Amino acid sequence: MARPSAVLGIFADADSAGRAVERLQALGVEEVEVLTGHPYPSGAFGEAPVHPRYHRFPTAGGLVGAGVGAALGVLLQAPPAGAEHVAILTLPPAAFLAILGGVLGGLAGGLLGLAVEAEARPAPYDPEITRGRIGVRAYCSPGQVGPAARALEEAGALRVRS
Amino acid sequence: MQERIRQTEREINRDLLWPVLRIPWWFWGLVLAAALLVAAGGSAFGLEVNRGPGVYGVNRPTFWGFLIVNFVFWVGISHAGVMLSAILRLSQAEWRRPMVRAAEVLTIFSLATAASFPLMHTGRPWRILYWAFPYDFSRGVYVNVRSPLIWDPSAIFTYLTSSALFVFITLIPDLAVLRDRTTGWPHRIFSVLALGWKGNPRQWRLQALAGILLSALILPVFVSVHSIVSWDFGMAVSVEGWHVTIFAPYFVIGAVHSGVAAVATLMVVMRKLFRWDAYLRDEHFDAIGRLLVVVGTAWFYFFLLEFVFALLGREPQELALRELQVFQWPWNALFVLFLLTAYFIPVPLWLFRRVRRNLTLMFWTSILVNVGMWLERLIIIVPSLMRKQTFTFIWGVYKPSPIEILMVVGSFGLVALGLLMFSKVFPLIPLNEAKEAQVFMDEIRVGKRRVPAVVREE
Repeated sequence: MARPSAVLGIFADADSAGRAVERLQALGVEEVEVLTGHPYPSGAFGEAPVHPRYHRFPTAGGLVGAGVGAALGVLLQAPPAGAEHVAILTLPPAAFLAILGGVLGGLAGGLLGLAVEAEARPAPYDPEITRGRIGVRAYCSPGQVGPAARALEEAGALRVRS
Repeated sequence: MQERIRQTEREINRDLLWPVLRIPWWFWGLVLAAALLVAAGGSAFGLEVNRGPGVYGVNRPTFWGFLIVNFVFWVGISHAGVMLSAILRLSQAEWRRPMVRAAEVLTIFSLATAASFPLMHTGRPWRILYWAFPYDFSRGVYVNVRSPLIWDPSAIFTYLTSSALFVFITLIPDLAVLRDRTTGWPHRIFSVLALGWKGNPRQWRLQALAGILLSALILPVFVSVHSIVSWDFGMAVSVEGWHVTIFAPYFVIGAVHSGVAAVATLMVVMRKLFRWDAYLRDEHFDAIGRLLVVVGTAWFYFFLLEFVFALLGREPQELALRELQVFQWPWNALFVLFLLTAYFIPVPLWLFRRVRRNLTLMFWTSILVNVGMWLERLIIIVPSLMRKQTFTFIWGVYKPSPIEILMVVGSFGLVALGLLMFSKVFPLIPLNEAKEAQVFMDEIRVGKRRVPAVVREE
């Protein structure tokens, strides 16, 4: 299977970017993403909304962290090995350490989730995007690159890169 | 309520990035002044390491003095970040946008400064590892995990880590802007830090989710940190004036009061130094002033409760302590000064819209609050220890030494230096927040009314 190629068009405003997305979708390009310098409401350009399943990571991390924290709180109250007496286990230390461990675990899971769910891959980019321009990037087969680039130009792209 | 000005993304980039891309004329002067304060504090600490903790003013029975007061003060200031960033983010308050990063960065530097003070207070900080780390180091003794003095470093470390991550994650889009605006080694560094940010919808959605997640995760830490710090005192059974159950909410709300006031001070300074009149507008000071009225009044309610609880029991030792705090020199003067500066001067002034929108008045009233809150911690900690013992012949007097005073002054320099250095490398107002706010300015006409054209999705 041919490796997908990517073509990027730079637009001056949201309306022309939206037209470009429509034209690309009419061409049959399935994967279109819009690059912006700040968040827009989802679907503002006609692209399919994204739903990353991010919540799994901080949830799992938080549960693990809370367990480790609670275990630490209990173990640190345990008597030294070989001691004859039995320590009185109190709840508050285990509870506090469980909360703190849960927070740290949730953070670690959240970071892992960001790395995994971002689905980063090499593709053309233009620094003008952070200066207020809007980028419309199409991932398509090598045979579609030409028509996609023409569609971007016809929609009013200031510049097209592939 | 929002009084925004229409701006293009280029204008926002130019306005908010100029302190990073150029060096303002006043920058090195301020850095030098802050560095001198830090050097003074550092030298004082060096002298203590050389000569021993006898150079501190602490002595039987007042073993906790200025350094612990300062520790509690800076932990309190650190609560600003979560209040303004996390809570207002979760409640979708639009006016939080320009102040969130400054509040979060103030949290990090004030928390790091606070964490250093108990270490310096011990006098031999290199031995702290044996005391705080959960391992017995061949002594046959583990840390006393039932003590809030052990929960303290755990909570502070967790809060510091989560705040730092919070700042970093919300900084990623701005790092991408800096990556695209720089060349050479700054470009390489920002490219690494930006973590491949391109601005696609998936990344923006993840960023929003991560911000909400971190805000929600930080909230229990926010409550627990200062509650645990309060229990350093509240669980000391033998000290009258400390062993009271109201301390946890009293300290937390006091921390929010002083922290938000510190952010108000910082906002005035930022607006003046960086000429950010279009971003830190009068409406933001109006909003923060109103928040301070509510928080300050809640704090005052808890202060009254704490005092009433102390008097209700009519225990002789507790009454002796309160008599010292309220009627004996110099504590009576400090007590009056504390009440005036922490509540009775600033809060009635903030009831007036003209005052809330006046930068000079907001600057001075917010500083007064922090003077008062520093005195509050002093009045809680030191007189209670002076009257700790049952027998009056071993009641003590505490006189702060110049070493302690220099270290306290140095802590202000350290936080200021940290903020200045941060402002030189990263933008103090989030660019994407300012740009997103422009989108929310769009309105459509419905009949004879103009209504917002964009509504939040979450």
